[in-house]
Amino acid sequence: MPLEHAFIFPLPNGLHARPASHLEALTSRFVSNITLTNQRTGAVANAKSVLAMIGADLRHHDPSIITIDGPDERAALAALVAYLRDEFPTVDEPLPPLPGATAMLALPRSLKAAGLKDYFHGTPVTGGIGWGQVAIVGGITLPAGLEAQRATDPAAEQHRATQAISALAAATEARIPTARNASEAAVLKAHVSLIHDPAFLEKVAALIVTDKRTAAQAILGASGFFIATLQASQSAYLRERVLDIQDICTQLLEALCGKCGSTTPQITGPTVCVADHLTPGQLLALDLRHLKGLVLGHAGTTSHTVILARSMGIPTLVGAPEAFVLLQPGQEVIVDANLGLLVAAIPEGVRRYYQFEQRKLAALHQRLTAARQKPAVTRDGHRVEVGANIASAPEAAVAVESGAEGFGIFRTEMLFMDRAAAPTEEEQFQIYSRTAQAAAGRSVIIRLLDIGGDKPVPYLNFPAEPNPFLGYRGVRFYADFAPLIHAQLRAILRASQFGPLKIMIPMVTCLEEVQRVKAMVATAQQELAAAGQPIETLPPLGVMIETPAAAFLIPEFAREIAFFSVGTNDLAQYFLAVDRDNGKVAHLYTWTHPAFLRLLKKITTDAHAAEKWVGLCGEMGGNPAALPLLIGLGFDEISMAAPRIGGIKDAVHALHLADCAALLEQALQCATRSQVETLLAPSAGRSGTLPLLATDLLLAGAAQTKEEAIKELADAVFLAGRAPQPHLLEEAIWLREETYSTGFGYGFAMPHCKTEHLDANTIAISRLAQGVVWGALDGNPVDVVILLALRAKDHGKEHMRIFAQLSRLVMRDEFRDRVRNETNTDALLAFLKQSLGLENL
Amino acid sequence: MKIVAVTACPTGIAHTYMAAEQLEKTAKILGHTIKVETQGAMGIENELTKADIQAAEGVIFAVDIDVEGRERFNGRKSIQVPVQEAIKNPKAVFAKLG
Repeated sequence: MPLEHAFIFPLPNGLHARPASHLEALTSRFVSNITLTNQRTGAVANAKSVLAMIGADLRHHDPSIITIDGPDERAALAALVAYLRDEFPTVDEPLPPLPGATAMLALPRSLKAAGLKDYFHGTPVTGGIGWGQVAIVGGITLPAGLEAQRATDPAAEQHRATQAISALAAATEARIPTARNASEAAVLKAHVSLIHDPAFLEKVAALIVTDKRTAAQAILGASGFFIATLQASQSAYLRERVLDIQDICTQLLEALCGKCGSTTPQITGPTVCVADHLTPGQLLALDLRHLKGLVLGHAGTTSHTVILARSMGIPTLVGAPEAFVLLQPGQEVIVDANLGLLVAAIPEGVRRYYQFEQRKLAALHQRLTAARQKPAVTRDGHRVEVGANIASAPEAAVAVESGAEGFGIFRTEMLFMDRAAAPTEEEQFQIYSRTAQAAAGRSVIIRLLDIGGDKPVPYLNFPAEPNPFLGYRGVRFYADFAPLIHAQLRAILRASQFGPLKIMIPMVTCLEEVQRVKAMVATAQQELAAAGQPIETLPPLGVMIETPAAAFLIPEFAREIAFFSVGTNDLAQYFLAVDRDNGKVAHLYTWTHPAFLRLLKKITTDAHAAEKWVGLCGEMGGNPAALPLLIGLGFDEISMAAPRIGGIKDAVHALHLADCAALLEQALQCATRSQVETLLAPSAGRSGTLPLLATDLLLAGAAQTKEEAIKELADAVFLAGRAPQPHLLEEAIWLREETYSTGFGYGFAMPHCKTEHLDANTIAISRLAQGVVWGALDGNPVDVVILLALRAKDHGKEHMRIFAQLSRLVMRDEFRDRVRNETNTDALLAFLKQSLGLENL
Repeated sequence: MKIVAVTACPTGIAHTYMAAEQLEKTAKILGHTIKVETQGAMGIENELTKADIQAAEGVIFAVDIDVEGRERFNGRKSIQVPVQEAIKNPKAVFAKLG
């Protein structure tokens, strides 16, 4: 009797090659027949064939059924159910939205005034400015003589086809370890699955046998068949997989018949690559050091080509088919992937505009990099360590680049999953050593194996349990699997010579569990010493606080171990008695429950009373809304997914410990979660605001026109972190300027605006190297520009009073002389503050 | 000469106050006494009282927008100029008042 599992298809972009290849990796481990049915269309697909599954055209929310029939159907069902629930929904995380790269309704005034005329629009998919010479990449032409080929021996043709396919699969697989980043590795893996796809192989074999085709003709025919299937799909996302099939087909044809007519230009200087279609393979064949921009005619926003370009930060536009037709190779162009423009003619003004843009982006990059690498210290000097959560060794180096000051948790279960046997001690030693080395002196908390009946690890043969979350998992199974944990401990102890590793015990509820692991560590140390590998200093041992019982035993644990780390995900789940994957009760799962906050308070208070370090490594740590509370709770470290580190550090820099502590006190007094949530306004924990004036707002302007001068000021306000979208601030200034010129004479102008596109009231001053025409009252050029920018929602009169005061001061000769001639920026700032009564602000 | 004035510009952020400053400064040079009411983003400031208006020999409106409470000045000798005029050429504004 076949087993069935019904589910609602969870991925917003439907079932395309990447998620299908993940699913296939799991299904192909079982011998049972496994099919996937789309109940909306009735399509039934072999779940071990990526192409067949893609052809089933599963879309978001489609009712779907997995059917399993065969000797290992029970194990397969358990594994698939767990996989579909826990991991599958996350395999195709949507790309994060592009900051600031929204399609513009209107071009910036400064760009239009610069003389922009010859340009194309495109959809930006990777932001940035790319500047270079056009290289056209043409479509793929088939090898000559392909049609004229005649097959004589089907067996020989089949052999040639099989050989080409195996060789390509092996070659593609061999490229995975040296992939530039995770996106490239994922695309290569998806391609390996496609090459091995049984539906593809069957189609090739059928064409060779029944249609008497040659190996190359059969591969072309099979590709054509699947391309037609994909192109008929209603999902744009699936249609974009065509490029992947084309890529594989081209490579196979090249292996069989020699070079196809695909033109991969040799690029030697800064280049903007223009193509109608571009396969991932064609992109990777380019010299990426010189590739400054990419313009694609028909590629969609989610094609693998685009995903690769994005992972490498190449400014990219799609949906610009006319560019391919109209541009000439060698022509100088600019890809503005922030505004969605391809600039095909570059007069002097436009050149200057983009030089300003490039300088701004470079300054921004520098600022963000600097912020990421700074320690997370509140305005009143309280330091909190910001760490990264990782699950594999290669993530460590990326996390360090993202600004990780430590590693709050290394989840080791990933090392044990998706394989036929547990990793050996030696294998783990290599992984932990590499991680310690990549961490470069930062501490790495390695969590011992935390696995339970909900995670498919077939070789462990865990019993099926009615409730795995309350069952046999974490430290509870160590006694029965002593050799497994022993090998892990030995590997960690050995690797600890490469950096400060720590060991954390998961799923602890009682003291005996901690003592038993401690004894296991001691045994491992003795064994290693006996084998001539003495470990002088043992890695510190800690307890993961993820059960309410553990939270109430901290003084007792503290006598045995060195540190604590709170796993808020499971702790909240166990404490609130809510399964957050159960739609009926998931809404009850929240860290804003006052009882949960009181529990956290008890944990940090008890840990610090025992003089122990206490960190936090749940999802709560990466949530900016929770940050003031976590600072108030006094966690020594907050650990999160690496991409969140920059934002959280930035947020810490704006907080006050005193305010956070006061906020926490209020939250602890609350009776309901809604009361807590009301407290957590975006401004919570920040009593300090940005000052009206600062040295980064006093510019030596290089502008040669009024438009450039206003752009320079708007960009400076943006770079100071006060206006998220500088072109909108620019436009607001221009709207006022249209009433009449703000050039009031004496070489001075005072543009001003009141706008919602501003985070803080601001005075910015630009002293220009040369005067610019401003349409001033006295007709003279302007060389000193004072911008007054006021927030639309600000009701406070204090800043307005200062603006009024400044407006009066500029009428005085001696004030203007000083502002124009003071060469020392610090002295100018001091003079302005004194004149405006801002010394204490 | 005793003069009162009102300044008001479209956004009320800058020119209202520039003009007020310019009128006060110039009045001093010309030997007039002046009180300037500003109608800007902070609302009405340095508001002219009934007595101020009664005592004034002339009223200057340096405004680009409607004056609030204009009826207060009914029957008084007044001139109106754009705000910019008061900034650019304040002496000429006083000259107009005669």
